[in-house]
Amino acid sequence: MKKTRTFLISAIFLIVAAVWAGPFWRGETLSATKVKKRWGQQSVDLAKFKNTKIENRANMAFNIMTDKSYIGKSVEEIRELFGSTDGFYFIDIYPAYLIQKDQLPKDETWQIVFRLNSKYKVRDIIVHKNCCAD
Amino acid sequence: MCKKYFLLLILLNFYLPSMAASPECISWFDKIKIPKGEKCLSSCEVGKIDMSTFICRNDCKDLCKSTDFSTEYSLLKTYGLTDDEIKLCDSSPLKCVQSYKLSWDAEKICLTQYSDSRTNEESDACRHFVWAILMSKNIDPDFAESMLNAHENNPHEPAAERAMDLSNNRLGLITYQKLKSSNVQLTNELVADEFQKKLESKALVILKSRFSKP
Repeated sequence: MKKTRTFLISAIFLIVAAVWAGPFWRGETLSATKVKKRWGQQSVDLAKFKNTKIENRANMAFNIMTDKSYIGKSVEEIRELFGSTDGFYFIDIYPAYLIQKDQLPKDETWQIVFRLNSKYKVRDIIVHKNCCAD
Repeated sequence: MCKKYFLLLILLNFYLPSMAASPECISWFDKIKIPKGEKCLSSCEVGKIDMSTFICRNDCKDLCKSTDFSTEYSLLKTYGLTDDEIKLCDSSPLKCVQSYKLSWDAEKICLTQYSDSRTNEESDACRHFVWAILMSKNIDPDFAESMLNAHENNPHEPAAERAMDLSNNRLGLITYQKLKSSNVQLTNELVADEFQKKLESKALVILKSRFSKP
């Protein structure tokens, strides 16, 4: 009983510590609500996503990040669906796609990132500030 | 008991973002194989030093702080290291964490050259070139080469992208040796200048230039 209690408290401690310690990787992220407010909401058109200008991807970001069907997909499957990556997050292998790029020297660049687990499967999807304006 | 955990949590929160010791001293600490726990501080304070590490004993308190890099290393693993990286890093987790911190420094240097970080173009080449130099300088060239190769040995990465990265890593390693032999002070500005020179001379591999028209 005591062991179980210790284990549970340790597990909670580690999870809270990891969350409280802040993002492991640099940069700001946006919640789904903020993504929707900022860029609106349009259904995902994968062919359009692959071939359109970067700016036209942004209004699909909300639907992509809230679609649970992408969770668990492999890197290869994501590349197949969304095309070659053009953004960058943490290491090269993370599929990251720019959704807003800088227009001015001090403007911001945003990207949608399929974050991976240790088996290189999608564990979550975030909208991340690639750079800068600070 | 909960109070203890709460205090630990606060300590960890302050500790996790960065270690206070310099990269040279982290490397020194790793190299001399200091035991963890109670004996850490006493062993660190008599650890063998040389001309480049004589100040490191002053960092012993920071270096011996409990949990430290092992927590960060666990986080790194969950973010996706290659099998080869895990093999290499398991034998030297501190160097591994340090390597990744240097990769973030490399990105920062490259963001002084480009407005954002992308893949397969100039900023990508910059990150690899600069990371190779920073690891060679702050850890050691052999570990840098092993780490770079382990990092690229990823079956999920497309072959052309891997070839680009390996080539730019190699150029970074060679450039470091040349700079070292010329006895110049290796500042971040100099590293950025070297990158620009290599870019202008087309020595770097770029799969898709960010300046090319679609």
